Amino acid sequence: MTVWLRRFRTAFYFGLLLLGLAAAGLWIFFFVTLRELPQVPEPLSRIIETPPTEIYAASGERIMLIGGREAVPLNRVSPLFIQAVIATEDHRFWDHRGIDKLRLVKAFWVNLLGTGRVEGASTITQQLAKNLFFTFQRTYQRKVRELLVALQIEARYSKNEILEAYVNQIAFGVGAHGVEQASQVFFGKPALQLNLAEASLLAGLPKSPTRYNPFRHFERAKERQKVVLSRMAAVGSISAADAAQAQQSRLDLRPRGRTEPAGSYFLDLVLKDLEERYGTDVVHHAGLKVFTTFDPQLQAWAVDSVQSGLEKLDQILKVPAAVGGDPAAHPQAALVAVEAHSGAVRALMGGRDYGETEYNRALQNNRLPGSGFKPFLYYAAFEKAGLSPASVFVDRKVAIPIPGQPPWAPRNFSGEYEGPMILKRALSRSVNSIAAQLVERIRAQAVIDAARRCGIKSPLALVPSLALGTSGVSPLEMASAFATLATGGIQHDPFWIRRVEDSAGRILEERILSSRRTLDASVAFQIVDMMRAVLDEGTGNVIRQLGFHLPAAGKTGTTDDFNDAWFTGFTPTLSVSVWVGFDRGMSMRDPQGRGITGGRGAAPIWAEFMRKATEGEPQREFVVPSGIRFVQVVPTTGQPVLPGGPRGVDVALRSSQVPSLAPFSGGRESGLAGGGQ
Amino acid sequence: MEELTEPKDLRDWAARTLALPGLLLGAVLAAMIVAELQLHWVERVIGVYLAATNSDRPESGAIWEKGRKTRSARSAVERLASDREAYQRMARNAGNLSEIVGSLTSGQGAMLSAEHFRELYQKLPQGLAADMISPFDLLRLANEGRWSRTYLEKASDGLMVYLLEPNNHVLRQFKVAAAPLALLARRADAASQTLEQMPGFQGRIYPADRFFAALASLAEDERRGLVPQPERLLEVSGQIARVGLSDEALAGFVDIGFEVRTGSQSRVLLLQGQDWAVWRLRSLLEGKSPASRPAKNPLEGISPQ
Repeated sequence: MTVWLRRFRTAFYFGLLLLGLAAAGLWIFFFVTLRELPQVPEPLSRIIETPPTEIYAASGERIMLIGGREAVPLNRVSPLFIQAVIATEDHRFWDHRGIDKLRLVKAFWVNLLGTGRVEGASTITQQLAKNLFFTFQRTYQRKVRELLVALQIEARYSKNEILEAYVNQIAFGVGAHGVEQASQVFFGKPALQLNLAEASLLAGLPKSPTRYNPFRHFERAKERQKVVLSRMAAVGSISAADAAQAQQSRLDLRPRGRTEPAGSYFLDLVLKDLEERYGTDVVHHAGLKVFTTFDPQLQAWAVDSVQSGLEKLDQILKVPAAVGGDPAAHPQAALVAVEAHSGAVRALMGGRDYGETEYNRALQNNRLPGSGFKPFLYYAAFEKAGLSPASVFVDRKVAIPIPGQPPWAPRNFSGEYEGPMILKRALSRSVNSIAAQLVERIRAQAVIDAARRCGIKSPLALVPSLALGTSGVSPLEMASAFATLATGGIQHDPFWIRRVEDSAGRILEERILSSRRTLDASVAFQIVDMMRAVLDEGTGNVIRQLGFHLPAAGKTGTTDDFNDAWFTGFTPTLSVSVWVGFDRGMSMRDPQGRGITGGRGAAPIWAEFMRKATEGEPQREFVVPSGIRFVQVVPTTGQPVLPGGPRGVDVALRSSQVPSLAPFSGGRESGLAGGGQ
Repeated sequence: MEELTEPKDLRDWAARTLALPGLLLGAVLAAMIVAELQLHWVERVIGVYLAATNSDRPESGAIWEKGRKTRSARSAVERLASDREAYQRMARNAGNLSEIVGSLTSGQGAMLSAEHFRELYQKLPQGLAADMISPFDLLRLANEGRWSRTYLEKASDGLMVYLLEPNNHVLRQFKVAAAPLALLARRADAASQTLEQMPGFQGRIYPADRFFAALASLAEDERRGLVPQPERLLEVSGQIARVGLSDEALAGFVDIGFEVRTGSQSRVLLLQGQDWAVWRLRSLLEGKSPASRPAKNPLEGISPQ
């Protein structure tokens, strides 16, 4: 026997042995794997039976589904979508029994060659098995199990049942699971009505829902659509001409503000709150019905106002378009609208675009309110020191001594000093030197107490500069605290959930709208009357120029270096706070070096929102408490205007402040009651 | 029989391979492969086997985990809902405020209709009722038509009462402190007890005949002050064996416990007498000067807000 024959013989027997071992190994492996193989639920439709948690707006409109699926039978899905999915994901779907062997061999070969391109060979059935039972960890063991489950699914269920389960559970991104929900989210129509262009766009998304999100990356999504259409043409589902035509046809994506889902910053807040109360599993799996305070129409106006206001600000600041992808490179904004007489949050915007950044600046972003904090100072000064809107202080350079530190010497925004003036004018013109004198007299603790009574909950530093807003607060707090002034001193905690029910409609909890009087009604009204002057003739006058003429009061706020611009204001029924600024605390200045103040950056957004929110509403005046008298005084002396004299300023005085008229001393302060020092 | 021998050379190998058995084996193998490619019989066999053994395998994986979470979440919600329903049912069926107070634990609440609360209010001792809210205020609220429901919430330091309009805005709210609540709760527990089992009566339990003898010696207005609703005692089936006087006053009223025996069963019926009349009777029972009065503020514990 020749050597090579011996070798051949050895190789033959060795091959036989290996083959036997491999067969035995495969057999053992099969049964070992089998033990850990998951049970497949029967019927398969059970996978889409999880009850969704539904969130409703105040109007009763459903605004969000969590955790559930809007499952549809296959005959309620556009055949074009079915064709597109099959052509793209698994064009031999109707022929195989769970595994596409040719594709498997090809993928194995390509992977073996190590060309760097990892070929996938998963059929639709395998993908369904993976989505139902397995993690996305890529191991051979998981792959084998996935394959075995796919074989079982194929053996037990019809192709239509498999396809129906598949299209009802795939993720399309933007919170859309299943084709019906995706069709509604992206195109605002049922899945049955999808045309070729829409169907092909949707069919391309499951490969990478984030990467191909058409709201954010439209061009990428179109490229992916092109791939889907070419696959459809290649397998003969459509002609090449149809593919080309669909590629060219216009896609009408549903407007984002209303779909994604509407008011997502608000919904984030609701979800977080629910999860804290009930736990994540209950929120996502128990099928709750949550009735919120959300007003979709107000929210739509909030979105419009914030986005158009920020676009204008971009133009003023000349923010380059190239920085579009970086949320920190654009100025951001937040808006919160609170119902004054209940504390119900009706609309909430936490940033320019939820799709771009989910960071909720309406709640999480405590920024310095600047002069927006002064109403609390003035309230404390009136209540504690007995001052009135007609008390006269001198606008002058001040230096407040601080033990162990250099004196605090705040300057006016304009850099100029106007001499004596009544406190009403000092607030409407946001005079810092007089605010400093007030806090020196009543101490910072009194300001903190007043702010707390209004509903401010953030930590506040016990320093004199607190009166000029040097402790961070959120727009939600500001809107809620100013609502306490709007109601004449009745404080309501802000809330966003009215009622929670289980899936059968049984009430689990409902909100009791309790309130408490925390401010004196007459003093609160004096502050409101002074804040009206901010809009009518003060730093917030742009609001009147922009066409909002209903009775309203408010206060601008601008911090040093123009890092933050605020306007918080209210009508007797609605309190709204708007903040504008960069996330990184950069200065907001136009190319000429002029800074963006509260009046320039935030007040226009407030005005636009309020103009829409109150359109058609009757004129409602703030309720005047019984002890209030209006007196016209000279703005520099606080003395009543003499008959025939020039027109003065109307001030609201408590009855105890009216009779005691004191002559203007020319000193640091004087005026009507409470002015003497 | 032909002896099996190993092929001696390559030709022999080839000859044997291409012989009928080899060709048959090859054909069978080829047929199996072609059949697999066409009919997928391997997948079918494995699939059918797996489907047949499906129920033996574990309920593991994402979908089962989700199912477990759903079941657990739904049962948690079911507990919440049924607890709340139980409180609501208890509140609806309660004949007096004491029953509600006695059934709630701290942090729990119950919603009543405005009408039901008015009924319960009328059954409260006059002083306590008036200190919670003036009957005239209640009348005004009822007449305005906005008051639709009342929410009672038990807190660690008392009971919050919210009178609500249909949208759950609070029209009035007030708090009843813990001490009067304890007395109210005691009244709820009185039905199946003896006087010794109830706090507040120790040392002030008298035989019924002695109590009624002392009662008979009082003036008519004092008797009326002591037992304002004697008809309730007349309705009692069984014999009043003993009478206890509480050592605490609540809003000007003192509990009087009548221990009623029916066969071997005992229960206590609680009535409220005006404090001055009770102290007068007690003086008689204990042979003290009728002038002695309690120092305790009877209105203590009620804080309208």
